[in-house]
Formats: sequence, structure tokens, C-alpha cells
Amino acid sequence: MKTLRSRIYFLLVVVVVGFLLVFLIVNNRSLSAQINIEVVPSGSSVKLNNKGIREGVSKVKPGEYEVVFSHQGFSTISERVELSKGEKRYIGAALRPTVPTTADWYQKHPDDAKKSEGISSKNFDQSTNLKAKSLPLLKELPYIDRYFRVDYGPGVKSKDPATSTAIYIRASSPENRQMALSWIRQQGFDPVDYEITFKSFDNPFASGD
Amino acid sequence: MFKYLNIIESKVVKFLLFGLLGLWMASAPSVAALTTNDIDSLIKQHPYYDSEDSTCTTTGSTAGGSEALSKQAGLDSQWIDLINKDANKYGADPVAMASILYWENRGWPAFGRLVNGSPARGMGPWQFIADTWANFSEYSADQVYDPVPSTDAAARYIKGAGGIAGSKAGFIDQDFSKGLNIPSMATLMKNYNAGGATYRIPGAAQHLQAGRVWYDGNDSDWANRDADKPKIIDDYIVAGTYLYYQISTGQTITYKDTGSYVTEALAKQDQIQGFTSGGSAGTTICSAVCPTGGGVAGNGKAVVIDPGHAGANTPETDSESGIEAVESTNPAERKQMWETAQIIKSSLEKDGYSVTLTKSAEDDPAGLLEKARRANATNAALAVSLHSTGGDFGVPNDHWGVTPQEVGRYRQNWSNDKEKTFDNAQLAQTSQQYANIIAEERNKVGDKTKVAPLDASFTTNRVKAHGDISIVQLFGKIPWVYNEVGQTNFSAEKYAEGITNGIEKALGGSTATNGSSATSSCGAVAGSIVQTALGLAWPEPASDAKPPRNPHVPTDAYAKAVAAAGAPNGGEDCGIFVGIVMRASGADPDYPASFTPEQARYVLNSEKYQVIYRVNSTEELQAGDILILNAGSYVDDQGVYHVGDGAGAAGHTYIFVGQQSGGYNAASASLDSHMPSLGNAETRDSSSQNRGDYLVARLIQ
Repeated sequence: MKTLRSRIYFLLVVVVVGFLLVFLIVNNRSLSAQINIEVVPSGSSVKLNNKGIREGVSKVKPGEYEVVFSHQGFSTISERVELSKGEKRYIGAALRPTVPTTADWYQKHPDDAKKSEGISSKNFDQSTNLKAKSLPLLKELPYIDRYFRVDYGPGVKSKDPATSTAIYIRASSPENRQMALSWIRQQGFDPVDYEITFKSFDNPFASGD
Repeated sequence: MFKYLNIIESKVVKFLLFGLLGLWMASAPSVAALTTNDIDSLIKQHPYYDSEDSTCTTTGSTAGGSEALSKQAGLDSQWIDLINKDANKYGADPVAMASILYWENRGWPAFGRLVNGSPARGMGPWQFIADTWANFSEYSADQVYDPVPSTDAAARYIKGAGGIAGSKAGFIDQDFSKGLNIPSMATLMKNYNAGGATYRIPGAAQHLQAGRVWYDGNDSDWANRDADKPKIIDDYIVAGTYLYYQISTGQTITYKDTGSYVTEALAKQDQIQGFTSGGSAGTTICSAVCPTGGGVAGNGKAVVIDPGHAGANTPETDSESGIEAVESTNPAERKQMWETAQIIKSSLEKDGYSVTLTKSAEDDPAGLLEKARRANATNAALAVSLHSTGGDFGVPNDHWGVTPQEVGRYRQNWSNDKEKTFDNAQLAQTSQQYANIIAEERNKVGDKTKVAPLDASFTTNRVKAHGDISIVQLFGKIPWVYNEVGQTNFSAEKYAEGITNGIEKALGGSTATNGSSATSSCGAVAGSIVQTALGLAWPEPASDAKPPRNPHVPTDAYAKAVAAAGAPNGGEDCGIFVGIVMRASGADPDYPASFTPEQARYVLNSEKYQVIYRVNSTEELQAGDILILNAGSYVDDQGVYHVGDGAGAAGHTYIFVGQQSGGYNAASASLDSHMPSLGNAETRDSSSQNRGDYLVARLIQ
């Protein structure tokens, strides 16, 4: 009897541990997105969907998140992000002094100042990578032709600054604008997919000299 | 549990990575302080270094002829100071600015607020319309009437329209089909009036379109255009050109009314034509180590002379583009050009130049593509083609003369429409600069000529691919200037003398009369920001690399440059990278090597840099520009720009390198994130925090 009872206990333990393992594996797989957070000044409060979170890489479930950075005497920054499965997103924030007592914070705290430089670099990398992937025409630009040139710069239509980019076409006539659009199509892109700003060289004496 | 497993795994991986990195760093040989030559050598050893693509870029210019303004009675000294200051700030030509100021006011305006005109017709001393003012100034609408802000905007506008120091005054009958960048007062006047867009020809409801021939305004039917029809001489262009000539030469302006002034100008056209003001045409930045005597790409004392025609009719087809080329024999011309080439070669070699001919003998059957290959292999600073054609020697012609490479010019096969277009803007810029100098020197020795395109008349059905650029220039990867001259009364000596002088002046050699000539400054700058950046950085972001590479590992060249500089953090830092590039290239040995706020303060307070606080698109960037996030800058609801106060902490910095293969145009490192690599530029912080604009620092020295 004693041996049978021991075996039953052993089996129960195996089953419980097994369930636990399966639960952990499933749970971990569901946290398939990553969010990497950095902020200056050091010690700033970071909240992810209203829950405190530390700087660094955290695994999270795919979905929408709001990250709020705050620190007394500095601006509060709120950033919304939508993470898809497997996505890794960096969110760095350099809070701006808002009161006289913190105005020279970054001059007095060179480590924070240096860290803010790195945050800016990472934001730059992430932003340009995202744009290049979502707007592949950018990889062909600037393009300079005899009759037109095609560039890119900030757009106004998209509310998401991370991907808000416009194509700038400078051409001197309607025909040349069409040539520029044809060139875009020849590269395999549809101009309709892009926010396009036509830039013409303004004539300062259009009505007289 | 998995969370902890992840942490353990992460720590083990980090331990191994740092251990390996430490071992690698410990095993790296110690490097003594590197010289610029060492850096250049390292760059050339870089696996992605393309020796055939070492083109130059011209960055900015210095104001020339500014002293001439002081000789103008009636021009207030405050105007003189202001024009000189802003011309110098933006690399504009102060005489060109003064010419436009005079013309727009039909006389020298008093210094002070000048409220006149209308938003549609032009306002203030520089006659800006509202839209142009909004595009070119950082000031409020009302400040268009004030001399200080309006002159600041005018200098930027004039520089952008072609009013670059050292511009030519002459060629008032200029053929604008040559493009926007031919430096002459006529082009500037056209661009200032209308830019590359539309140019209003007086007396006709006709607009000149960019790229079209400036033809008879009575012929309003573009489809029936004829390049040989009489050209219109426009008051605006003639007057502006003559003003430039008079101010440059310290003469009293004789303007009474437009009609008589234009008549007087036309009577003096011969004097004006080809006239060039003093001053520098810009700083040419070139390969990492500037060759002796200045120069552009590669060896600044190396020159290629391309005597026209061959010993056989040699057909070739370019395997990549499919362009069909055929060289012809033209025995009489071939003999003349071979003799001319020998004279030029001998003269240049006496002055220390290394000269390569594209033919080994007069009857060498080398085809045009082969000639281009031979020239490209030398990595010379300049190639010059020699040809002659029908017409009188020393008589300028609209269709040929001195022809530079130009973006957009093309050749297309008659047989299958395969086409190749010249698209190297930097090479074209240098070529155009040299063409102007060579034309000037040819004129000086009596071989009267002009910078002229090889238009459609150049290629007929006698060649296999029609178009408007010579095959050698189209396939040339070095600056290439194509010369033609009249055969009647041909003088090999004069032809050779003018071209030799032009080459030497262009490359900063013995006949350079102006210490600030285009390429002589190369020695001072001693290097290329772009080439150095490309040589030190990986050619793509680590995420795009195939096979994958560790983003924290630098190129060998950068590792050694960092060691030589004693830079911290292995150089994995945006500011350190930019600092090392500026120093290693020799472009600016004083550039701070680390913290970006320090770098921002430096460029803002240094006279070496033109600083542009806000640019919109990549159109406003030039290869070699440094961009620094100007944290805190913004545009308010009224559209007024506010410079950042620096309180927003430090930001990123990078170098714009122009469009590179692979689709990248920016070189940067990132603190603790990645070593220098290419990527893509942006002009404004586009994180949701919107931290401000990237200010642009452009070396003007």
C-alpha cells in the first residue's frame, strides 16, 4: 500500500509539474513581442498601460500599449505603440526640463546628457528603418534627373511622426511632373501609395519685374 | 522560470560576447598615431572601397569680388557690409547680389526699411513675392521689407539660383537648355526671375521651359521649335549681366533707362563675354588625401588627354547598358588632334603632371568605350577630349566648344532604343567647373569659344546611338571635358596652349592666377568628408547585412582610426564618428570629437561653417553636410521658426553622403547600439517626442 501511495503521489507531482511547464511555455510564447525602454533623467517613472515598468527589454503580448514617461520638473511624454507578434520596438525618451530648477539638468548630469544622445541615435535608426521598410521608394532617393528631381522629407498627412514622410518632386512643368511620376512607376512603386508634394521654383516676379 | 532562464541565457551570451570582444581587442595590434595618409590607405583597403567612384563634391564657396562694392558711389556702406556678410555666410556672390539689388530698385536703394510692392508682385529691396519669402526666409512676413532679414534670405536664394562666387558674367546670349547650373550671371538672372520653372519672355505669351532651347519668342509652338532661329535677348538678363560686369570692374553704373542701358550692354558684349569675377568658385572636396597640387578624384596631377578618333572604325557594345558605340577614323582630324595632344602632354609633363593618352599611337584602333575604360583606370583628376569640326578656328559656336558632363544627357541606340543617361551629379558639377575654366583659358589665347552643349546636332544617323553627350563622357568615371574647335585656319599651338592653361588652372597648377581657384583649396581641405565617411563605415546597416554581422564590430579602418584618435567607447558613438571623419579627412582638424552639444556649439560659432537651422527635404542637403539634432527647435502657429535652446539634452548627429549604391544616403554611428554604417537620412526628429530639427552644418572653407 505504501508503495502504491508513493507512486500515486509521484504521478500527481509529475502531472502538476507537467501542467505547470505547459502553462509556462504557452504563456511565454504568448509574450512574443518585445519592448525596449530607455529614459532620461535616470530614475524617471515609466508606466506601461498604467503599470510601472523598469527600463530595459520586456517581453509583452502583441497589442496596443501606452508608455508614459514622467519626472518631476520635466515634461511628461506619452507614446502609443502597437506591437505585432514577434515585433521588437525601442522607445526612448529624453524628458525636457520645464522649471527653472531643472533647466540646467543635462549640463549638470553629463551621464544623462550622454544617454540622451544615445536615445536620439536609436530613435533615428528606428525611424529611418521603419520608413525605409514602409516606404521603399525612399531607398531610391534623392533622384536627380535633368527635368525633375525626387526627394523626401517630413509629411503632413500621417499622424504618426515615425512614418510620416512625403515625397518631394521638383519639376518645372506639368509634363516634367508626369515624367517624375512615370519614373516612380518605373521603379515599381505606385505614386498613389505616397504622400507627394510638388515643389516648383517660385517666380518672385510672376506679375511683373 | 523561463524568465529567469532568459536572464541566465542573456547573461551567458553577454559574458561570451564581451569576453570574445575583449580578447579581440586585446589581440588587436597597437596603432601609432595615424597620419592622414594612413587613414587614406586604410580606407582604400576597405573591402567596399570603390576606387573608380572617388568623385568630388563642391561644398560652398567663398565670396569673391566683395571689395568691388566699395567702389560704387551711392551704395550705402551698410548695404556693402550686409551683402558681404551674408554672401560669405551662404557662399553667394556679393557682386551678383549687388547687381540684383540695383536692378530690382533701378538704382541703389537707401539703407533701411523699404515698404513697397505687393505680395504678388514683389516686396522690399529684393522684391520677394510672398511664397518665395516663405520658402527662403526664417522670418515673419512683415520682415520682408527690412534689409537685414531680407538680405539674409536673398543671399540664400541667390546662391541657390546659381549666384556662386566666381561666376561668369558673360554669355548674355546663353542657351539655357544647358541647365540650371551653368555659372553665369545670365543664368542667375533667369533663375532669380523664374528658377528652373518658367521664364517669361517679354512680348510673348511664351515661357521658356527648363531643358528647352531659348528660341524665338514669336514661335510659340513648341512642337515646331527650331534651335537655329534667332534668340531673344531679354532686358532682364542683359541688364543684370552688364551690371555685374560694371560692378566687378569698379565702373560707374551708366544706367539711365532700361532701353539705353541694354543697348550699351549689347554694344559691349565682346568685353563682357567670358568675363569672370574674382573669388573662389567653391571648395572642392576630394579623395581622403589631397594629391599634390590639388586635384579632384584620385591623383590630382594625373591627367588624361583623349585625342579624337582612331586608326579604324571600331564598333563596340557596352555589355551592361547595351549602348552601341562606334569610333571613326576621320584621318585629317585624327592627325591634328594627335599633334595637339603631343604638345599638351609635353607642356603638362614639364610642369610635373602625369599625362596618359587614350591612344598608344595616332592609328591606335581603340574604340570609344575602350578609351573611357583606359581613362577611368588612371583615376585621374581630369580627362580632356580633343576634336575639331567644320567652321573657323577661334569663332564661338552655339553647338560645340567646351562641353562638360551634365546630368540627364543621354545616348540611345537607333536599333533597339536601349538608353544610358549620365546621372552622376557630383562628377557633373566638377566637370562643369573645369569646363568653365578651360573655356576661359582658351579665350585668353585667342581661341574664342564658349561652354556649349553637344545638342541634338551632335549625333545624327551616322552614329549608332543618338543623344547629346559624347560616349567617352557618358562612360567616364572621372571629370571629363570635351573640346571642339573650328578646322579652318586651325592652330594646334593655340588650341594646345589654351587647353593646357585651362587644365593647369583647373587643377591648381602653375598657371593658376587666383589662389582661391576651385581646386587649389583642395590642398587646404585635404580630403573628402564623404569618401572618408564611406571608407570608415559599413556599407549597410547590420540588419541589412548579408551575411549577418555584429553591429558592434567596426570596420578595420574605423577601429584603427578610433585607436589612433584615442577615442572612448570604441568609437561606438555618433559624435565620435563624425568627429573622426572630419579630422581624418583633413576637412576640419579642430572639429570636436565627441559630445554633440559641443559639436553644435562649435559649428554655430565657427566661420568655417554655413549653418542652416531647418531644411525640409533631402533636396536641400549636399553630400558632406553634417546634421545635428537641434533639440527644442520648432515652428510656432504663426510659421515662425525658433532655434532650439539646448535644454532638450543632446541629440543624434550624422553625415549626409548623397545617394549611394544599396539605397543609403547617410553615415552614422549610434551610442552603444552600432558602429558606423550607412543608412538613410531624416531632417527632423520623427519620434513621437518631436524633439526638433536637424541643423545642417556645411563646411565653406
